[in-house]
Amino acid sequence: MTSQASVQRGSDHEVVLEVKGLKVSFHTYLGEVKALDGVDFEVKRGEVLGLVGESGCGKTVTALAIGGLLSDNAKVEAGQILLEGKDLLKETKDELRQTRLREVSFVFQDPMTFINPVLSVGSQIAEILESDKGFQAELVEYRIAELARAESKAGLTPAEVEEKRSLEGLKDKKLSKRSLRRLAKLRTLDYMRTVRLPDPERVYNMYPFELSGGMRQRVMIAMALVRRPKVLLADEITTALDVTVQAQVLRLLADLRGKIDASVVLITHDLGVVSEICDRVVVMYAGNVVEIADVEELFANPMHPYTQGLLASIPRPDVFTKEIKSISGSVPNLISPPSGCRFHPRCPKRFERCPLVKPPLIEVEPGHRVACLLYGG
Amino acid sequence: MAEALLQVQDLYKWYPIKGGLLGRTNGFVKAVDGATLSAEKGETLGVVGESGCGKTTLGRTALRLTQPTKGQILFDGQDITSLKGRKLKPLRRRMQIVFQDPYASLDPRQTVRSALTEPMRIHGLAKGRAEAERKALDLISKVGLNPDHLARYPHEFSGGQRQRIAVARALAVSPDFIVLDEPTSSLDVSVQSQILSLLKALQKDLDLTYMFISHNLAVVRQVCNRIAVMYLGRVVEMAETESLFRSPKHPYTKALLASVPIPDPKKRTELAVLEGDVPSPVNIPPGCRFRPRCEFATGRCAEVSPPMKEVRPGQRIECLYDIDFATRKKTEL
Amino acid sequence: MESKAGAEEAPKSGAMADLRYSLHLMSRNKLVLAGSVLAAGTILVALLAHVIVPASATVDDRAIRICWNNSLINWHIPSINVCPRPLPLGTDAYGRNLLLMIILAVPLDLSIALEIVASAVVIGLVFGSIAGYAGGIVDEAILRVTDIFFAVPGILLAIVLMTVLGRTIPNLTLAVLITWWPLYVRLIRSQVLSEKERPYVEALRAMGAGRFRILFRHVVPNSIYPLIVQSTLDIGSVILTVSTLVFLGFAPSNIATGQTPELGSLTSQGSQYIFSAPWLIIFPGLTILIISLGFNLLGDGLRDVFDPRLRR
Repeated sequence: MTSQASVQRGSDHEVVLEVKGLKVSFHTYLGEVKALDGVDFEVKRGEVLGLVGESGCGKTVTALAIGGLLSDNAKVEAGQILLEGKDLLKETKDELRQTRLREVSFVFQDPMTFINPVLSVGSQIAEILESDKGFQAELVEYRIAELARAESKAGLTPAEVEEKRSLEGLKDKKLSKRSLRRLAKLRTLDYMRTVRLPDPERVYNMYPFELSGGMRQRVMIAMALVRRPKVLLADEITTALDVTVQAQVLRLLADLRGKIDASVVLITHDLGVVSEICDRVVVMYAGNVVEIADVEELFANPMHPYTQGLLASIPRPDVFTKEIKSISGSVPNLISPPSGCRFHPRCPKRFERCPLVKPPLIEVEPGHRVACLLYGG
Repeated sequence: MAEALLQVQDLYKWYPIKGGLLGRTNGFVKAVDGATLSAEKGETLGVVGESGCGKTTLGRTALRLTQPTKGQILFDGQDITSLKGRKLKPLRRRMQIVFQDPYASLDPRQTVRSALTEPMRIHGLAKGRAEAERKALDLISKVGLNPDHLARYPHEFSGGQRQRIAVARALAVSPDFIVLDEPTSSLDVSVQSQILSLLKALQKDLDLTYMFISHNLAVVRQVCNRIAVMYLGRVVEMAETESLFRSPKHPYTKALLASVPIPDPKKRTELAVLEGDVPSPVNIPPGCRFRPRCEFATGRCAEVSPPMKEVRPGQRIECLYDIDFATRKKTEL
Repeated sequence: MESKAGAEEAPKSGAMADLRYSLHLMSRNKLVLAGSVLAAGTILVALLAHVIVPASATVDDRAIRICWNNSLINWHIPSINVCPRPLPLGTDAYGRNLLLMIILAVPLDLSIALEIVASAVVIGLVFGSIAGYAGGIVDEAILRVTDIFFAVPGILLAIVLMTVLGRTIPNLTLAVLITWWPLYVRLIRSQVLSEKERPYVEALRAMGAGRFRILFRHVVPNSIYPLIVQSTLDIGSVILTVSTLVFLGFAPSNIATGQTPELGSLTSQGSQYIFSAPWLIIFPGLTILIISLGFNLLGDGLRDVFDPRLRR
């Protein structure tokens, strides 16, 4: 059912995922780390949303919370994570597994943490399709459609005609194990082509260690896509890659939008990557969302002093800047975070109220929200 | 032209791959495979390239932290290629290195004070405790930390602070030349620029020469005077920073620069995509090593390993052609 | 230069916080806590043994009276009807106060064990760090020598040595040590091997630090934690091995016969009376068990405490 959700890209303002007032803390020996302190943002259907910030800002914790992958010492103190209106935090463990497996997929920085090193990459992708009964009907339909396309183009071989008939004859859509295998493999090869893995038939039987970093990352993306998720969480997926390979992966992501129905949440610290492929950006600092805006608006008109400082401090490859700006100090320790606005100790524009009041996220211009007392609150 | 402080001539560093019971050599990882470059006094020479291009090995070999397989290294006119043991020690005082990961490059059980005074003790640069202490205080303030930080251990500092300590330690022997091996790669953006500014200021005050190794082209553009672009163990292009970024001449440099995303959505262009991955440094393609990925390659490229040639004053490339990328016109060099 | 860097906030955790966390980790685990108490108790008993026990206690009762007689229990070997005095753990095979004999045996066993472990640690440190740091032929040679010792069953080798060299305490120590040191060479070698690849070692080399400075000032001190764990664990095992050898009779005659009390010999003397007076073997045996259990638990606990994955 969920896997067949046909989606129109036109419904631009439809919200798929909404995170509301999310608070997460971690118990460590040095004390309680208040990792997320009321995170609010939403992901719209079909968009690429950038979640940016420096280390410790909570971007990865947010993603892990959405994916239900928080470690044991983490505690969700408050908040909601609404996926198409239903609160993931309220679901039972089994429901959650189902939902998350199908509807939220992850791609990590290091693909090797998620790929089984002793199984061929193709079989790992195919296994996802084989193991979940929900995919069977889709596999059959997809194959029938594929055969139909081939028929209208160039006609079918007798074997293919026979295959099409027998597939169409499957009333209850229950497949034999062998044909399930075969269909899953065909579909997998198709996904491998979608993520532009070269020579998919050969790569299908290769083991992870035989692949380069860029190819592994493509395999990860294919694995995430076969589930046809509503939301794809991509955590620093290009960080470990070389820039020429990063360019390949970014271009792939850009090409995929429109072809897939998933919204992509791209978690990164690299503002270059954000400006390259994101539609909207959520800027986080020390466990708070400090600014949300469309990507062009954010770069042209950053409002939060942190965003301003961050943009000024990135070295640009296209121009020489005589004096590189920086934000004084460093990211605070979240065991005893600064009071009020967590950015105030480093903020060049702070005033008396900053240490006292936690600034709310206010919509200053349509679609542009800022959590800073300079803009009210 | 200024005087060269470090000259690397046709340098090779091959690591044998051993296998089997008898430990036979089955091949070589050709980490550095005939690299030539020089760093002039007082400049920052950038060495850029993707992982596996040999930039780190080049830096380490130039400092004689490993023995080169072949080639020549001149430091301040002196041939240091095959110095050994005791004879290297005076060199160690003049050349230093700052690593990517500041935490791993500091002994976790050593206080900052001890880390800063140890190099002085090794080279006999401070007479007695009081002088060492005075010098340590001077160093710590030079890198923007407080005197009370001297008594602390590395784990008590943030990443940026640790890198400041690593810089201070490199400065403890008053070197002339420092290899900066990805010094800001493990730091946050807002902190990265603090360290870059610090390095720039120190260079001016102390008359230092840097070799700045990095994969981050944006950073390199901001801090380097000249840049050497490495591909599979060789320097394929060498030029002044601005000419390199404005008009790269080697097809690899061109592709590399075009792959860097620009942090400005208004300049969003189709990122140029260089197909394929960097080949392994064990099996380097014959002829021009970039040929298999090069869109301008010709039959001759497979046969001839291109020598380093000057295309414009101060800009040299290892390519058979001078290519006009706009018109795709090739002129033989 | 842009300043204010000094204002950067450093994560607050000093040596004190580390220590407190170590204690916290240890106290969290009940077994480890028990282990520390047992090990500390053993050491305390060993230190005070000669203060608590009067010298006269070792003089045996000529007319052997084996009995266990106190307010709860009254057990005699049938031939003897009268037990002169109430004793908490009864008498030993020579009619002496068993509790006092066990107390006297603890410092002897513990000191032999400490001597063996300490020597093994020193040998391990020297050869292990040389092997690990030098590599090549030196490493290969040292490794092959340890292989030879690994190939021979330890207790057998010790027995042969004792037989050849003669039954004295130094020989006993030597015999066990010879089977024990290779483990430490291996341990230190692998630690040094992994430690010397860390970037700080390269930084030291770039600084011009000599091999010995790098090895003994930096690499070895950073390799020491697993050594502490292993040696703690081994104190228990060595006590067990030593008492086994003594039990089998490989000791100077005054010890082997139990005249000078030692845990193994007390057990061995008691074994003659295993049915008629079982406490003779139970209490010394139990003591060996408790002491080695204590050090083992403590060692396990230290392993957890030093585990970098639990650290940060």
